Amino acid sequence: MSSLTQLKQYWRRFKSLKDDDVKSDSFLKKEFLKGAAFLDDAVSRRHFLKIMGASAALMGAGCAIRKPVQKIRPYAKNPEYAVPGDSLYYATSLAIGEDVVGLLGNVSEGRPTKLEGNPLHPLSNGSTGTFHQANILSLYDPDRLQYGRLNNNRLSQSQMTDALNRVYRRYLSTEGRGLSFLLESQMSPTVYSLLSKLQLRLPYAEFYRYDPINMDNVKHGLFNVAGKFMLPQFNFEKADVVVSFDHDFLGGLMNHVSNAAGFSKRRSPEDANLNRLYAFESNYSATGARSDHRFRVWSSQIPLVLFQLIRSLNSYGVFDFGPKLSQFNLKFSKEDVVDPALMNEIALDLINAKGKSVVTAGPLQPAIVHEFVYFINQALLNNNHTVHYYEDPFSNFLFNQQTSVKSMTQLVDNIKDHQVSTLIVLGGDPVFNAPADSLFKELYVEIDETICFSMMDTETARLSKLVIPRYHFLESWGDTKSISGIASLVQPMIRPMHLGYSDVGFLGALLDDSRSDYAHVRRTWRLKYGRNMFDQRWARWLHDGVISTVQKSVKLSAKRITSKMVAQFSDLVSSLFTLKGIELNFFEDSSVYDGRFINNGWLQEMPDPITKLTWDNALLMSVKTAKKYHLKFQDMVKLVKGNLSLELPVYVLPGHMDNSVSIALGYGQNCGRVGSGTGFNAYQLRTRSDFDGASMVSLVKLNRTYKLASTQDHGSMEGRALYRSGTISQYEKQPTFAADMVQTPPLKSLYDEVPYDTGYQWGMVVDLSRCDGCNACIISCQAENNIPIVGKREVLNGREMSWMRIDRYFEGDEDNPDIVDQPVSCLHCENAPCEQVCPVAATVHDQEGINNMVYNRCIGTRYCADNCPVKVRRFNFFDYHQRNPQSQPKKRKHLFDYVREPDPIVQRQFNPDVTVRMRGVMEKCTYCIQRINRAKINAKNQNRLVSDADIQVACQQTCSADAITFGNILDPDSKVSKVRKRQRNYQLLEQLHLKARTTYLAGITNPNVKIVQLTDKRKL
Amino acid sequence: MGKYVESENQKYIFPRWVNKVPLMILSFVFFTVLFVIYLFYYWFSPKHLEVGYEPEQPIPYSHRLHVGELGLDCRYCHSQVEKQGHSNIPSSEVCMNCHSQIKTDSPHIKKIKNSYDSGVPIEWVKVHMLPDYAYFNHSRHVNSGVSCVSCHGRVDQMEVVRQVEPLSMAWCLECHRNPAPHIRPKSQVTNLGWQSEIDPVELGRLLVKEYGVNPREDCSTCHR
Repeated sequence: MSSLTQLKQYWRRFKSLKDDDVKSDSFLKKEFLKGAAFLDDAVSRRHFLKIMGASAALMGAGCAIRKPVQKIRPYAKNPEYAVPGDSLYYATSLAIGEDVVGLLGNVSEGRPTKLEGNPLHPLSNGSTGTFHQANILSLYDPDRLQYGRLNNNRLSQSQMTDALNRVYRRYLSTEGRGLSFLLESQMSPTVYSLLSKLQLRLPYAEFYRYDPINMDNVKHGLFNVAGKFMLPQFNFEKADVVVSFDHDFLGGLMNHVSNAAGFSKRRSPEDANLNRLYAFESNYSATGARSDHRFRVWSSQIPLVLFQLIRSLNSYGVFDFGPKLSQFNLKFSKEDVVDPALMNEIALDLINAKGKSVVTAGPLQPAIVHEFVYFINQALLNNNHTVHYYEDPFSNFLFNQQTSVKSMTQLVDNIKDHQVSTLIVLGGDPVFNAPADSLFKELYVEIDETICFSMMDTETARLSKLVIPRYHFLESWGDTKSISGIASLVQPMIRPMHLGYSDVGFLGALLDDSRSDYAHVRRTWRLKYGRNMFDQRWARWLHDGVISTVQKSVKLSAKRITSKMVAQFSDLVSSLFTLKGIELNFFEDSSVYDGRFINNGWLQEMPDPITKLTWDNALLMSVKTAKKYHLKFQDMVKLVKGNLSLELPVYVLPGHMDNSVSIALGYGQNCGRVGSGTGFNAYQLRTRSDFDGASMVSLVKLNRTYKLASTQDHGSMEGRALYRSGTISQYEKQPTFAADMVQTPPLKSLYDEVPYDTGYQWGMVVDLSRCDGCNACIISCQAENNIPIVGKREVLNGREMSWMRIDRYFEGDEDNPDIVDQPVSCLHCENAPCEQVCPVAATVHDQEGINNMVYNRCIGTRYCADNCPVKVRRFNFFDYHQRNPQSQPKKRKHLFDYVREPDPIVQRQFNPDVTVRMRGVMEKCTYCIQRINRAKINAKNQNRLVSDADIQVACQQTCSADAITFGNILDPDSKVSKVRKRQRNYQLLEQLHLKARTTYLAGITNPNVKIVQLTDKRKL
Repeated sequence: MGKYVESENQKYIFPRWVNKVPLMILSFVFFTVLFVIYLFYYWFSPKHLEVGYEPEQPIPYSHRLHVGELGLDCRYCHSQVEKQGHSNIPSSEVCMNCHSQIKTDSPHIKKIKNSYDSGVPIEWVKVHMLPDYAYFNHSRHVNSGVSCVSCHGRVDQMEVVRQVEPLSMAWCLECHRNPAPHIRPKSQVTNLGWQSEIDPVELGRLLVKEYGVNPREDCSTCHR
């Protein structure tokens, strides 16, 4: 083995760096956890036998077991295009916060069962993120509000309309005095047109906006520069060098899908020159994990780091300040945050890529940082090339021109002054997520009349006098317009399941407007595009899902830095040195976002991309900080910030900045049967003064622990070359380095080998260089394949059911390690070890190389899982659909049957093409056999062969980074056969002679050689 | 001597025929086991349990009248059979195509009209049932020249639809292993009474080649 191909040592958590730790850690050594085979449940084995015996006796006595009569209910009148057993796709779009993505809904017999990205929508391009995938489950959430509520009395639809009308009529006479609206960010032109109508009719009504996670700082920074409320959008495809200042553009929600698509295009060396990403951050983010160089800094010190970059750029004569550098009146302390020599190299790298680089700062950084980031991009000629600015299309509304915090402060002040007699909360959950020091909750209950428009029974809804249920977006008509100006329609795919209104309908009802939502939306666009040919256009828009894909960026002329900005910046940087203690940062959660997805089981059970935590959030801190405070994983601590405090468990995250801690927002709600009791409410510590930025806290260790369900230790890979990566120079010297890493003697199977050389032979390739570990594939798989959630206790038992997992390995020293992600699902080995041990041939190969799992043959010995080298088989220890907290008692009792069943509403989500598995059977990735069969049958009916265009497996379809390729490996024209021939291609555990159908392309990084040399020198 | 014999006889408490008891028990057990096997093999098999299922339908629709005598094609009502996995049950609307004019006084036609007017579907009772984990695709079979009659029998002669084939896995595989005898020209698929003029097996063999019929026996063919 040459030195080039030496295997890096990957580790799954900081503990396993030391060998003796691993040895003592029994978890890693075990196939299944202790007691995994026991029914440690309310139903004991004895109890179970009792019931069985009684049932058998009844069977003999009653003989009442008859095959149930099944009914067929055909349509009375067949709806257009509706064909039983076939799915129809309807285009729609979804705005979460200010992020807009076009979607296609897969509707089977009137039930939307899966969401896919809309290929015609430029912000989606056919792929989606986790929230979009999981949103389908929120539609079928049985805990949704189902009827209106007035002082705890049920309201019918007409009573709700009456109630809203009464409010409107009452305020007509006073022209809206005393009436206030609290909105969350809205991206719908029709909603805004109704809002402006409201403003016209009730001119004195007040409008406020509050978003716990927002882009206000970016908008205000750019407003200060250019006088327009704008947001940048990055053309990563053209960017050679990217510098991120605390901006998680790959992991955060905003534009994640399009960012990942653009960024990943520059990550595989065969397709394009690699880009290089520098990341400065305190918490370990998905962006940091993909970076070539990651620098740990305090979030609050980012302005200082930014200044260092400016100074370096200036020293190369690039950054033209306007004011002199010396005018920055900085009271510097002794040392720089980042080594100046390294910063110089970064500056040089940026200068060499002039016009082809991106500098970006995170939305939690103050506005002044975004101003200077703008000027850096201007100096580097990036503006209008790789960084495009788009004016917020709704920024002419006053409430959108204020920051959320300021708007909330005004509202609170007005409530205190008794100027608010009616408050209408249009979406959002401000009682839960308003800043702790605003005392919104206390003031909210004092308002005479509070109206909450919400999908879930949130804390705000529970405290409101009138509660109006909100439709899910798949039940309502509407429209969206992204910041960049892409307009699309929202069309319903199912009749509303409960009472309530869509966003448009709510405002319509409030305005005493009897027109339908449909009419409202049509009217908006008819006014814009005219009556001429409108019906044809409308049909086209509905079909395509997009009205206009024109993204008109603001072409900005060069701006100058004012002395005011310099003064502001200097003050900010100077103030940083007075900070003492531990820095606390909040970040948006990958599972619940700002808290709105708290009751979504798929998202709750999805391991966080970095921490692999499920069902909870925790206090993230570095190894050194944990040592300093004598804290371990799962220790409870009390965070104290002024008079606020929060108790939560510790998660030690290698690579986190020292003396800095982070908490994910959104947990700790009492909302729904799935979400209640999960995690800890970080909003309790969030105040207005440090709403976005960091704040100083102190830590108190409590003598308690709290169990955290992290999947990070499951299925350890014991130091074998599973994830293989190299630098670009290694790759250029020896392109096959990944395959060469493991040398095997000539391999021969003990069994007769099947050649698999005719017909279709399916295979998959995962490009590790492109994958950013965002988890969208996991949720997509869950939605497609009827995979249940198991709950926190079962995750702790190591029984999570997700067919796909993303292994996260650390590499390097435990202070600032690299993170790599590797998606693993069944490899469909041609010589599958699982098949050799199954006593009942429940898992066998088909002619097309797919390792089939035959549920109705499986007797549950679990030998196959035991013998699976990659541990991708999942066993139904229980019927998890039945054990879901949202399940209900079964109506029809039957021998050998369960007493509970999923709620009929939840059952509607099930994919009719995939068997729902019962207790006692094994399951695993099937390569989406239902999609393959469908494509094959369609092709054969049309007398042709299946091509790439016919099949996309669920994980591949949703992947915005285009990391997964699937198809027929024998077809020389298929993409997968071409990608498989790439020299980076390697097999997992090839020494076992698995002949796996899923292969991997080694990850390639593009580190700056000079920085590597410099840091190596420092180490010596 | 006699006394001796007597005492000799007294030694044996049981009569002589008792010697055969073990054999009788053995043969009884043997036949019982045989019977149980037969019970499971035949009486518990779909051949016995499924064939002949003839439930009463909410409307006594007669296939014999509509198909056999009036000559309606199967695809007039089951219109998706060539395109989709499911062969659809016609909507009330399809019935009303004719019955808005014909026999409008019949109480059963009135039921259909009510359903058409109100939008409440008629609940037909499912006759041919496959387990939920078996995915049968009508279009693939019909487009390969497998006639309706192969699985559903002479529906055109049935007053009430009855299951005539076991629809068991073994039964499916019989044809998947040797499709030729069941393949006919595509044009004759819905002609239930069709008889081949030449040897049907020979014709089937030709058609298997022409249609590219290549039925698979993999688990994944039907189970997902």
